Amino acid sequence: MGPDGFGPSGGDGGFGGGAGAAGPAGGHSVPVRSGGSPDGALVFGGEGERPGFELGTFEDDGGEDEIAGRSASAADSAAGRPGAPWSAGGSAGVNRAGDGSAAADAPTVMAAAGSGSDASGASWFAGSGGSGGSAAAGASGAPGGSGTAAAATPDGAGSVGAGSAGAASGAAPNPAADQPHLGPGLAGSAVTAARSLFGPQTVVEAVQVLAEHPDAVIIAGGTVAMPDITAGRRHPGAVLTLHRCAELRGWSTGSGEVLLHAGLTLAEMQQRDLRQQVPALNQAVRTVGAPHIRAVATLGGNLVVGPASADLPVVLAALGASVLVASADGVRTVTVSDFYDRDGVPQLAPGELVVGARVPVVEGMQGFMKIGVRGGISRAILSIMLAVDPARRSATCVVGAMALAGLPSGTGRGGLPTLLRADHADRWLAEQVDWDAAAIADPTVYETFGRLVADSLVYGDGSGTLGGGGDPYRRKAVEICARRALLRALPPLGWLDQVRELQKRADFQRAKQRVERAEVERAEQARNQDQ
Amino acid sequence: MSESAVEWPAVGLTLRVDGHEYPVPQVWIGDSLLAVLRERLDLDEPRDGCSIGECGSCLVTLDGRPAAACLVPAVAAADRDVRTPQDAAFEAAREAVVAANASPCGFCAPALTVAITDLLRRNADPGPAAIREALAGLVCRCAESGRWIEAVARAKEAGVGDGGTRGPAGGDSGEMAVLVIEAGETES
Repeated sequence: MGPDGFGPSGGDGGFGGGAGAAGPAGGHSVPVRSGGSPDGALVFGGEGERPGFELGTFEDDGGEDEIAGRSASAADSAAGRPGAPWSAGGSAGVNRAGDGSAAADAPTVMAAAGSGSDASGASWFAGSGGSGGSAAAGASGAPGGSGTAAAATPDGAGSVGAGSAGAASGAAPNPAADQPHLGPGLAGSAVTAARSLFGPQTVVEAVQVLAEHPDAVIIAGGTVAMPDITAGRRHPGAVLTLHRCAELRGWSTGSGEVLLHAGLTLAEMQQRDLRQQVPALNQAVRTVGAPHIRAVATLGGNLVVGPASADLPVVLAALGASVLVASADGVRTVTVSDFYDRDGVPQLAPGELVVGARVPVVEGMQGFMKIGVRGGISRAILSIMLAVDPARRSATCVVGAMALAGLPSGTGRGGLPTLLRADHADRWLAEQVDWDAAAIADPTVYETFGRLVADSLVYGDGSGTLGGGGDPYRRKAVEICARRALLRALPPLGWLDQVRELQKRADFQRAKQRVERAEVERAEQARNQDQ
Repeated sequence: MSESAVEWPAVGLTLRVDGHEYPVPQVWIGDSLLAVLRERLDLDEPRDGCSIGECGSCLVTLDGRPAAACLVPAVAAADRDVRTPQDAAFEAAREAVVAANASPCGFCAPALTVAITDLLRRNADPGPAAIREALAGLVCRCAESGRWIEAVARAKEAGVGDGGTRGPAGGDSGEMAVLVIEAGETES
């Protein structure tokens, strides 16, 4: 398996893979699970030999045993691999040694990392050049792989103990044979971050880690956390990466709803079969970022950022979706509207992890619109989503991302709510629509709807609406966007017939021109042949 | 911040970059892949433009999908296939970029080769609109977009993306889609 240091990823559904077992480049297989239990329950996991992790039945059916078994196996496998010092608390800690040398050691680590050309670094690159050389380097750097692991484990973490040392002797020869230059050197160089880097493979493991380390920085796609870390605004004491958690990837279909797992990337939301069910996701995602951002950014990250700047909460709120939040106590479900407070801050307790979103599938038209700070791809300063449900004869309009600019108190209290439903406009609209024709008879409805939506943007302290000198631009923009979204979703009565008529006429004109052109060409050819 | 009070937990990794394996001892867990590539491994083709994922000049591919290296934690790249613009897979696109003079100053040229190759792997015959959308994440201030479109055309002629491995299920379809809502049952 891979020298990633996260421990072997046995049966993790093909995600990532190891050094040798990686799929073809670009061969991201997105797990799509259909059907599920007969009652439509949506199930996480169930891949490989791992038992399924069913949301909502977190502690039933011997969940405790599963958890124990999993963590034991993780400890075993990590200890068996010298390249994975931290997940089992493997070799002696540099920073977390806990014996008073941590403070003295930390600058050493930085010095080594900073220079990059110290003795150990140089020997590494020499060693990695060829397989023969690397084997020699590995042999000279430290005792053999299995020996190092077995020796390092007991003094590193007492909790892992003898069991893992026994496992190490069994498991270590394998990676040592595959990667001769790897393990011994790493273990021998006393590099470790025991208890500070976690790459859980299941949701259960992830929430366990979070329960122990509520301050761990959760990194799925990295688009939220990494800029802060790089700029020094955030200093992670512990990092929890979710990229190996196969359960969080992909999406599943249930009866009348889809379950988007939190690790679903924005690029994956553009898949044809998902956008047929929830077209607004694709519309919103196309406005979010460049292809290379979409390829890594995830639904979970977007939900945690919140509607102050992210776009998907607006879409999901209009669709009536709910968020699934896992913690060590189980999984709770909360509607998207209730998930955020009025400043757009997600209501997450320490140790909680967003694991997905349940989105009902509706037949009607969905439209997403966004105004950014510039013409191209950018953060929204205003986004609006209109979802029409002909079956329930209702329309839902949600306005988001109102908190960023131009408001009295910025993003704090006193400004506008960041995620705002225009309920009274929706209710009024539902009475104006000719639902059998999916159209609107009275053309003034569009203007009025836009005005009603804009009127709903009331300041929290009741000091007035947005238009009252506060932010005329926003008010105008909301009016126009709501009007256009409605125009596209529910066109005026008879308008589609007119369009069809015009289309027919245009087709006729085109065909006529084609025939005429062919006749002219034929006549010219005949003339040329005569000459 | 004071060095003594702050912990810098570090791990040892092996990165698989351009098909080679690079053991990197003592990577801080908050280090980005870009920092490790440039400063530890001396692979400087991914440029360090903005470090916050806005400019796209640090483009690499991770498991065949484009990613901004500054947003990928190095520890999350350890078990994956990293390809920098130095990789042979981007050779043809690089020549096309040079031939079209698509990057006059050269700073974002490596990222451009990655983006063009990725686009052509997804979409063998992109129209101008699809090209603009695919390359929108690269913020270039010196070339006009016509040269980029020409570079894509040259790369296509050179056969970039012919051996594309990405199936139809690969997500981003690359086609221009659905800005306007389909108006109900009008398709006849």
